[in-house]
Parts: sequence; C-alpha cells; structure tokens
Amino acid sequence: MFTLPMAKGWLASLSKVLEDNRSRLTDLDAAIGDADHGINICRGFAAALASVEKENPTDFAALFKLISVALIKNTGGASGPLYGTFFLKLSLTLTGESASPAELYKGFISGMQGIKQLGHSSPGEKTMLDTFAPAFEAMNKAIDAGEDFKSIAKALVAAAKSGADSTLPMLATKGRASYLAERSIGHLDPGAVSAYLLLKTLGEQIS
Amino acid sequence: MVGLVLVSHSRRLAKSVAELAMSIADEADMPIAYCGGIGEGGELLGTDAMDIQQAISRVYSKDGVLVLADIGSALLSSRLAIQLLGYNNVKLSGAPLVEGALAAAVQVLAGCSLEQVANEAENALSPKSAEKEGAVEQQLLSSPDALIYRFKVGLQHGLHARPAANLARLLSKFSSTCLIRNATKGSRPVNAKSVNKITLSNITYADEAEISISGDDEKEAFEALIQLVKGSFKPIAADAPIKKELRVITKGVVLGTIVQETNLFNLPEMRKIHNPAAEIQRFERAVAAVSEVIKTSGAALRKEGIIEGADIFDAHLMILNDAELLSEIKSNIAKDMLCAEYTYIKKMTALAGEIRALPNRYIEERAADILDVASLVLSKLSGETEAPPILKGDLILVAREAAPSLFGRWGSRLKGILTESGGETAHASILARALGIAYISGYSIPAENLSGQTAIIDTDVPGVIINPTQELIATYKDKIDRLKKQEDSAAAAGKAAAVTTDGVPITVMANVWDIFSARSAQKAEVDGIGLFRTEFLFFTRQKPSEEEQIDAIEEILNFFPKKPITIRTVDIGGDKRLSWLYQPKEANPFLGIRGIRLCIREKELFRTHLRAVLQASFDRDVKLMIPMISVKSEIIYVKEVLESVHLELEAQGKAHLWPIRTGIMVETPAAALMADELAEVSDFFSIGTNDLIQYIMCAERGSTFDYNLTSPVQPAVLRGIKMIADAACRHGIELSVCGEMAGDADAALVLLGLGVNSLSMNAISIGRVKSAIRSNSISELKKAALAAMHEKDVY
Repeated sequence: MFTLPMAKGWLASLSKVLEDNRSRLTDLDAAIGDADHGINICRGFAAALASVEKENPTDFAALFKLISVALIKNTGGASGPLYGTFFLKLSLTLTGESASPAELYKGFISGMQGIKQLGHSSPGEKTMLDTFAPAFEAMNKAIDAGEDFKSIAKALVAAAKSGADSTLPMLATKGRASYLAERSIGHLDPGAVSAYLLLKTLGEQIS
Repeated sequence: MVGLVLVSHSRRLAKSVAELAMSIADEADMPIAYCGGIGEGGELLGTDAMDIQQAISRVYSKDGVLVLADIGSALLSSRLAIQLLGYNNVKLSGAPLVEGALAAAVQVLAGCSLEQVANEAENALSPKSAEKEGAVEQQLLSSPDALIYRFKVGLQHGLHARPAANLARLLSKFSSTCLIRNATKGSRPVNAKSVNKITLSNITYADEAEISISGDDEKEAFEALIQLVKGSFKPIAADAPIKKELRVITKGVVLGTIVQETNLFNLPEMRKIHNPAAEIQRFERAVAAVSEVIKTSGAALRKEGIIEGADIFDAHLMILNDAELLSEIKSNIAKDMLCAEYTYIKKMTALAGEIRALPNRYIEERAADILDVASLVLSKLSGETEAPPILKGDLILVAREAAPSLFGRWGSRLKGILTESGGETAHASILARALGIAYISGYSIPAENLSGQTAIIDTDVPGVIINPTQELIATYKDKIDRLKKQEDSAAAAGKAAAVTTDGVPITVMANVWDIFSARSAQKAEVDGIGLFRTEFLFFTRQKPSEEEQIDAIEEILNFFPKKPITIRTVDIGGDKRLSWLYQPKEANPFLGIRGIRLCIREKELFRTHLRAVLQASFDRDVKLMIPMISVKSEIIYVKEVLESVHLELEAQGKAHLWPIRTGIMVETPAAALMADELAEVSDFFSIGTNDLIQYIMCAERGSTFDYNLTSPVQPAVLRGIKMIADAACRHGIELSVCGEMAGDADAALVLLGLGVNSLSMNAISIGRVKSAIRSNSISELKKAALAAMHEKDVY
C-alpha cells in the first residue's frame, strides 16, 4: 500500500535529490533551453516541502493540493504549471491516507492526462511525458501480472530511466527546446530527467 | 468591454506593454491587467498561474477576457489559470504579445466582442509577415454592382486607431463583403472589417476613402456606414475645396514666384518585365542618382553650419541605401517579374503605412521621410526631368506637404512655403526655421497649377495673396525693406553694452536649447549664456550615450569659446516625456517627478549626464544649474554625486572641469521661502520665472483666465522674487533671472528694480531689453519696483 507517510517522505527526498541534481538539470537545460530548469524546479519543490511541513496535511487530497499550489506559485518556468497540474490531478483522484498500487496508477494516469492537456503534447516530443508514459505503462503491466508493490515500483523506475534516456536522440517540438529544432537532438531533455528523479525517489520510498 | 490580461516572464515587460496598449486609450478607461515574474515583487523571471488567475478576475466582466502571453511557461500558466477559473469566456490568444496587445486594445476600445478582439489580435502580425515573405496579397476585387461610397476624411490623424476600429466594428455587424481602398493614394481594396487592413490603407487627412459593400444586407450596411462617416469622420465634401485655418509655422514676409509641387504619387502601374537583370540595373542607377541628389542637399546645409538640417538628409540617405531593403526589392523584381517602380513604391508605401499605424509622432515623422525618399526614386525611375523652370528671384513653394527633398531641389532661393498640411514638429518645419523660410500650413491649394505666378506671404496677418496688384507689390516691397532695416538696427542695439542712465552695467545673456538658438545667440554677440537647456540631448529615439551627450554639448559650447555659460542639468518631466524612458502617468505632472526629482530617481541617467557635462566643460567657463530644487537635501545630494563622478573621471584619467560652480534654478515657492538656507550650499541663484509664477499663483500659463492671474508683475510674484534676491545678496552669491520675464522689456525693468543685475533671455529679445535698460536709471527702477510690490492686484 502507498501511505501518507510514504508520500511525505517522497516529497522530502525528492526535494533533496533535486537539490543535489540542481546544476545537472540546469546544465541540461542550458544545452537546449534557458538554463533555469534546475533552479526553477528546486525552488518549486522546496516551497512545496516548506508548505507541507507547515500545514501538516492529514490526507492525500490535502497533501497533493498543497504541493500543487506551491509548485504553480513558485516554480516560474513551464515545469511549474505542468508538475502543478500533475499533483492537482493526484489530489483529485487519491483520497484518504493510503492507496493500492492500482489506485496510485489511476492517479498517475490522470496526472499525466492533465500534463498532456495543458502542454498540448504527447510522448515522442522530448518532454517529461517521455518518462511518464513508458513508466506508467510498465507499472500497469506489473500490476496486471500480479506482482508485489516493490516489483511494481522497480518496473516503474526502470522504464522511467529508459524513457528519460530515450529523449537523447529526439527532436524537440514543444517548449523552449523547440526553438533549437535539430540542434536539440543529442541532448537529454531536462524535464524528462526531472520526471525520472520524481519516479526514482518514489520507488525508493516504496522499497 | 472585453478585458485584457498581459502575461510575461518579466513583470517590467508586461507593465511596459500594458502602458503601450493604454497609450492608445488616451483618457479612456480600458480594463487591462498585467502580470509576470515570480517571488516577492515579481523580480524573478517566470510566471505564476495564481497571479494570472487574479489578474483575469480583476478585469473580468460578462464580455469576457482575452489573455495575451509571451512564451513557454507564460502560455502554460495562462492556460492553467483559465482552466482553474472555469469561465468559458476567457480566451488565451496565440498572438505575439506586443503587436497583439496593441491590436486588441484598439478593438476593446471600439467595444468589439471577445471573438473580434481575439481575431484582430491573432492577425496583428499578418501585415509584418506578409511584408517579410513578400507574399502577394490575395487580390480582393469588389463586385461590379457593389454599393460604393467615397468620402474625404476630415479627421486630423486620418483613419487610424479608434476611427479605424469603429469602422471595422460597424461593418463587422453585416454579412456583406466590405472593402476599403485609399482612392487618393491609389491603393488596392482590402477588407474593411479588419482594423489592420484599414490601417495599412494609410488613409490620412483629406485622403479619399472608397468603401464598397456587396451582399445580402448591403443596403443596411450602406446606411449605417453613411451615418458613421457623417457622424464621426468629418467628411469633406468631395467638390468643396479643403477649408482650413492658415497656420503659421515660421514667421516672415515674402514676395516671390510660386513653384508648385505635386509630391504625391499614385501606386505605379503593375508592369510586367522580361529582363529582370536590366530592370535591376535601371533601379540601381536611379538609387545611385538619388543618392547623389540627397548628398548634395545635405552637404550644402552642412557648409552653412545647419547641422540639424543636414542630419535630416543623412537620415534620408540611410533610408534610401538600406541594404536589406534594396536587396529585398531587387530579389522581388527578379521573382515577380514586375517593374521597379511598382515593386519599390509598393514596398515603401507599405513600410510607411505600417509605421504610421504606430502611435508615436517621432516614428510618424519617419514615415514621411520614407515617402519623401520614395517619391525621389520614383521620379528618377519615371525619367522626370529634374531641371526646374527658369525663374528669377525669390521662390514660394506650394505643395500638399512640405518634404525635405523639396528644400534640396530649390536651394537658397526658396523663401516661402505654403502647404495644405504639416506641423511644427515635422522635419520640413525644422528646416524652414533653420533657413529662415516663411512657412504657412493649412493653405487650400486651388485646382489650377499656380507655378509661375507671383505671390505674397505675410505671416503677420496671416495671409496669402496670389497675383497681387502692382500697388500691393510696391507696398510689400516697402514692408520687406522696413523689416530688414528693423532687424539690422535691433541687431546693432543688441550688440552695444547695456548700462543704465546712472551707470550700472547689466549683464545680458541668452538662453540656448539647441543648435539654432545657439546660432542666434552667437549672432547677437551676447555676454554669455545664462541658461543652456539640455533637454534636447534626451529627445532622441533612444537613450543617449555619454559620448553622444559630450559631442552635442560641445557643439553648442563651441559657439561661445570665451564666454561664461550656465548649463542646466536635464529638466524632464512635467509636460516633457521621453519615448524611451518609463515615466509613470501622474495626475499632476508639473507637481510630479520632474527636474532634479527625476534625476534622483534615474540615478544612472543622471550620472551619465553629469559625466558628459563635466567632460564637455573641460577648460571652459561653465557653471552648473540644478532645476526644480525644493529642499536643501537635493542640492547636497547633487554635490555628492558630482564629487563621486569627479573621482570616477579622475580615476579613469578623463579630462573634465573641476571644481565646478554649482547653483540652483529657483522656481518653487519652497525654494523662495528657504532661499537663505539654500544659498548656504549654492554658488548662485537663477530665478526661473516661468514656473515660479505658475507655482506662486497656482495658475497654468497656457490657461485662459478671465483676469490676469499669470502676470509676471503680480505683487505676490514680485515679493517672492524680492525674497530670493535679498537672500542672494545677504550671502554674496550671484543672482540672475532666466525665465521669459527677463525677455519682456517692461518686466525686466521691474526685475532690475528688485535687485537683479543679470538677465538671460531668448536672443530675439536682447535688442529690445538692452534699449530699455539704456534709457532707465536703477534708482528710479528701485522706487517703481517697491511700489509695484505693494500695488493692489493685477486684475
């Protein structure tokens, strides 16, 4: 089961991991964007963590809502509204204090739909969706195969990693990177990498 | 009204775009909100969907809201904000932020629906991109049985901005096809339901607009159109001559022979060519020939020392030889296989039309320059003979509009100008003033060509007489002679020293504010410059650099190599606004951020300015004057900045004047009341009577009062001046007066009676004031001034 303490631990460790990866994400963004992804996303999640620590929410809905608002208000770049929407959708689908893998999956799919809708984008366009889509697909397969939560998480993270890596040869058509057109090829998408870190830290909580 | 929300990563950018959009509104209220930036005060770049949500709510009404955003996250955050609000009448525009905001603002003011506002915003880029791609615009043809309405536009600024929006809005209500074209300039019909298209038709004052309407509701549309035109476009009856009031741009009396110009051109015929290489060569030859003509005109003025005039021709040269433009035209000739005349004029008129659509009079001037250059090239291409008819004596130019190229053509024989339109700020007016040409605008040109006829211009009346009788000619010959003699004797009076009958010498100096006034002051052989206004340095298209300022200041200082000069630091604000500087709208700008107050706010601007002044003044007799002082701390602040600028220049090894005597312009009641304290930290006082009178009397000079509130000899004003003069005397610092009061002979005498012994005025007043000084004694003037101070009101 995915529990409220796990979710809070996830946020805390994600905030730390992002901080550790701040310059890497910024460097990736410098190559194809405007060199602010690391700065923006760290600022956003640090604010989310601070807000959660202050308010101490007692269920998923309140927790994810707080994260969502903090991301939207503080991130600055495109990742703010995108991740903000992701968590907003989670707050609408997940209630209570615990969720089964299938419920969590449902929440993720809803979050991903929110991102697609807001960004007018789909996988294959060198965005965070290239991490999310294969990761959630792998998660779904593992759930169908009746695997335990740890194995499900493992499959999720592995697919997320190869998903993020798959952006290396892609041509960006969305976001700031799209201004570079062909020159965006050969660089990892920073959004896809931060999405991977998001799922990786989740996996660590579940294990 | 539809609300507008502008979203950018940068709050300052969003704010500036909002201001630009609001500039269209003049006084009207427009529901517009902007947001951008994140963090406290929004100083970080980024966007915040919550902020956007609030901005939308601020301007939301049942008419809906259009959101315009810059890029990336601004779009995402806006989209999210709209989703979160859940209104179905809030739209996110795909338009470019700046162009879209301007186009949308026009539609909003015209009361258009959200859909119309959104549509125009989305199309805001099309005039530009159509130009860029050289797209041949889809040719709209009006149906042969369409209802056609022609009218001459009587609006001063033509069919632009709001009138254009009103027209588009009205016609949009009907399903019929509505096309508009500029019949005077021979433009092609375009969609009259689009503000952008109407604007590009460039229908200016007295141009004939032709609107054709065809469709199911054509009759209703036609009726409504006529009502709108009659009600708001001030149509000029096509057969009636244009009646306007004669407007004197520069003064003078001239008797001369008329040369009439038709500096108007129709869009040339679209002629197919077969040999593009030859056509391009022909075009290049024409450009080279015109280049020579412009260079000659500019060089002639430069030789005369009329630098500002020569600069205008330099600008023309740049427009003509713009490499990008020329290569585009050449490639278009080759691509479209159309003649050079058509290709070039189409491009240039479109360029000018685009520029005219922007609400900025400096840019407007550039449009006139573009058309002027275009007309020269066109006449070269058409093989028009350049040689003017052989005429003797002084010439009077009659033209619809005066353009700089016409001055080049007629040279020094040109003494008078009559035009239908044109204003004080136009380049042609600057040239006319510099060259001493009498210029009257608002003249109705009759149908027949007047070339070769004798005419008289008298700006004193003001009046124009075509074909005067011999008797009138004789009278005017006398008048012109008399004026010439008066001018000469005034000049002579101006050069002699000003000493009162009881032997007190009075210093009489001139005010200068640009190269022309400097030239006049130089001719008048003044004792010095009591007020050198530096605002002209800043009335530029962009922020002037330190070097540009140094050059311009030196250019003026060079007129007066050995004479004392008082430079006033820049006095922007009040009615003086700069196109490149953000100056917030104030309810009462004359009591707002102006003079030193603006310099204290714009620290970098002020430092650069002071650096330039100190450097340009090196090894010269220069004093520095600070305007709009109201408290002592302001003077102390300026002295600190000066000290630090001095140290900086010293460290950089840059030659500059140091120490520099620093005084203040006394023009606020506060400064008058605190004159003793201010004198402790000032090296001199110069009384700026223009503002002092306004501020003491709380009466604006431009207003028409029922009684003489703004008289310079109101006892309240005189007592204020006396306080200032006494304080200067007690502290042993120099005192002068540099306002208009000093140049009014009667009022100047009162000033002498109050203890002033140095006056600075426009060069033109010097002769009169000096004569008055020479026939009065200080002892008598003192008595008279004392009496005037205790007079009853001037009513």
